[in-house]
Amino acid sequence: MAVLRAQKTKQRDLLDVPVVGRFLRWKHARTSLQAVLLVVSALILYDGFWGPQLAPKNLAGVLPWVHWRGFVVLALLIAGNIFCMACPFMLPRRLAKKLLPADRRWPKVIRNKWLAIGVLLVFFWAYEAFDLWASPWLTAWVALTYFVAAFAIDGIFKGAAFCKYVCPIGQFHFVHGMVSPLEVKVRQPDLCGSCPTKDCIKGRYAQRPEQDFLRSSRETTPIQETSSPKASGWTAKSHPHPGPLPQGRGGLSSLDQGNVGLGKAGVSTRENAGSESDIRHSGESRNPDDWDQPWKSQEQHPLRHSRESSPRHGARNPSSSEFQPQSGMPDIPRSSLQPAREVATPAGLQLVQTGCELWLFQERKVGNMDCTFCLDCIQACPYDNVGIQLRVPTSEFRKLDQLHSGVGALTQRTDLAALVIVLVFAAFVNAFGMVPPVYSLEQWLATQLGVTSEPVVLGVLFIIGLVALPFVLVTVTAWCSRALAGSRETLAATATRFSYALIPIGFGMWLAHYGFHFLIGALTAIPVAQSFLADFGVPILGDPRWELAAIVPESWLVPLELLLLELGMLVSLTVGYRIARKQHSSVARAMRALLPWAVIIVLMFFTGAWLMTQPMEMRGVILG
Amino acid sequence: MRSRHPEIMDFIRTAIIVLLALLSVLVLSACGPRAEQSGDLDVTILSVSPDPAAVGDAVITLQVRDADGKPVEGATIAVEGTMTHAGMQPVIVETEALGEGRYATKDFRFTMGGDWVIIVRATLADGSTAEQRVDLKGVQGEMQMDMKSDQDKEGN
Repeated sequence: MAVLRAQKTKQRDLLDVPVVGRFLRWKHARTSLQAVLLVVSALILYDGFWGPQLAPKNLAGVLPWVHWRGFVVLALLIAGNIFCMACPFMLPRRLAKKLLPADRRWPKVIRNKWLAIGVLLVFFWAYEAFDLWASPWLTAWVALTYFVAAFAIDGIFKGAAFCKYVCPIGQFHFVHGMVSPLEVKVRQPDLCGSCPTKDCIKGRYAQRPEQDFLRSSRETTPIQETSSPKASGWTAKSHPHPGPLPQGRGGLSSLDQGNVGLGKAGVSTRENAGSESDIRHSGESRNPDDWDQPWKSQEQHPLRHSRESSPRHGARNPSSSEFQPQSGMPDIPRSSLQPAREVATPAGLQLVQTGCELWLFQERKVGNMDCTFCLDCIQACPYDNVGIQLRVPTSEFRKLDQLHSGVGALTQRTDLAALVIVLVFAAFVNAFGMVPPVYSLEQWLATQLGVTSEPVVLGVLFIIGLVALPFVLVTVTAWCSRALAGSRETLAATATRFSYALIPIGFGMWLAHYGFHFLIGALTAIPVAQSFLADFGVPILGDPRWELAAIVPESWLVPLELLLLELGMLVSLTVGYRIARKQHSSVARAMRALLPWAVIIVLMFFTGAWLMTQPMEMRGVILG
Repeated sequence: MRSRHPEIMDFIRTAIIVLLALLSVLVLSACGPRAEQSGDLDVTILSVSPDPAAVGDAVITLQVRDADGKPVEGATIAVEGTMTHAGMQPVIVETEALGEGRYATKDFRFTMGGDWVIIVRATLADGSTAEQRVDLKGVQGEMQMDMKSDQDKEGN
């Protein structure tokens, strides 16, 4: 019997890098990263609430707004969604999953990005209106709110509802992760086709020790359907496992060793991993209600596609709803891929490794959208078939029409396109808030509105800059694009499709802005840490060296910012062209379709360049 | 050795990490707030040249008094100009004594428009140190200066 295990491929994989790979494969890799950031968060909370209320002298003023923002954009540029991987907010959330029921379905009406867009808009407005960057106390409150929100939401709802539908930081990473060079993906798709357990999404289960008595009977007798299968989780017949299991990997070995520890006579859970009951159990317990939610219909269900497309599993029999196995591989009736609705962890089993809680089924997962790099799928896959692979950063844009597991086709997601547009325009509005012309505009707006309240004026400014202006611009551009290309696609479809082309120029702007703050203030953490320790009577780092700040000469900054913006523009134009070419077979039509979008992209570049060359000023405008 | 109860162990591990983080915040908070300022100095900005303060070279004249209101003489006074936004290069300069507790900055420069915070660090004659902060709002940026210049020309 062949051993099912991913073979070495030519793809470059972070897991194959000697030290890093070993660490990332470690079962507690994510927890250890999260623990580090949790300690940093604790320091930020403390200093924010009880430290000096001057941002440059406070950890809550320096670490989040200078270092963290710079780190995340640079990490997205050179690696991927590293912050979500190490997200400290997920530790209390894990606790919430244990303490609270976490059994409710996320409301269907907000099972999209609209709520997250709303949260993002409020955050961007609050950042300016209440000068979050200048208030360690408010920054600490934002961090605390984050912890509480993640705890409460994921303690009430199933899966990673907070990450997928609420978290503004997560949305920022999901969108800009599309231009990152790393992607969590399967190494050998064929191998997934023959995997009967789908642990990567369903999670991995082990038999409870107290249920050992069951194992002796399972050795010789397939699990029998109980009188109440729905209640118990047990169902009928087992399928044999497709082959001997690989040994030695952290995730699997922990399970296997655990089972070994249960007694020699025991049948390892893995030996039953191919059972229909396992499919039903595990899929059920990890996210029963939302199992098929990301896909609008059964036609889009990833498991359906996986089985249809898998050569090892054979083709679907058109005359039957059942798939026909080939090559002697076990098959699973489609009915078993429909998890029962209300069953929790099946009796006798306990979850030892969660699968993807954002409902991204690895075999059908495309790109980085909604991927938190949580490593759960890597730990869960019994075949070592999921890696963190190097890719051409923009390759994801070629697959906009493709069904993304847990996401759908990006070209059909108007909410995602709206999220993209808000983030792209926010990059410019956020930077606009730091240059002098914003004061003139605020003053003019205040006069026109007859108000002196800065939050009100900024509210109007943000509605114009992040909602009205983008809506009008994108609508007009999409209309022009359709008209020029003679496309029959709806206006919304065109706008949605091409909005993704704006991501690189938006990301270029975020990089230029946050990169600027990071490069000019990277060393400020040192004197603040020195001061922090000195205030507690442990001046082990010496006296604060407040003169420390920049890590590059100031003269480098503007050229560097312009370079990043220019790169963003060029990549956006390239992506736009690819999108247009995919839609139109004729080069001439594609170019006509692209033209209005190219104009927008170039305009954005010049706007960004103008912003970056303005003298920077700290807010402090007094209206009236 | 592997646990026979991975769920429970996972729960305990997570709980320990979260509780440790909470505990660290509580322990730190029990230490009390970090000092905003230290020493019993009364620092007043007497003048800023040019007036109004604007981006570029500037001289800040300070009046430094002790807790009894007496002018502080013979102190070494350093001035740091920083802003409300973290991550900017602060301007740190020394001062020269003008007598009667007055000190003037040397080679100070406002590098950016906006609200500034002037931090005065004094090493007194007896070797003790003190630190005080004074807000200096509304330093004019280049654009505001240009506009003012245009208005002046129109007025003339």
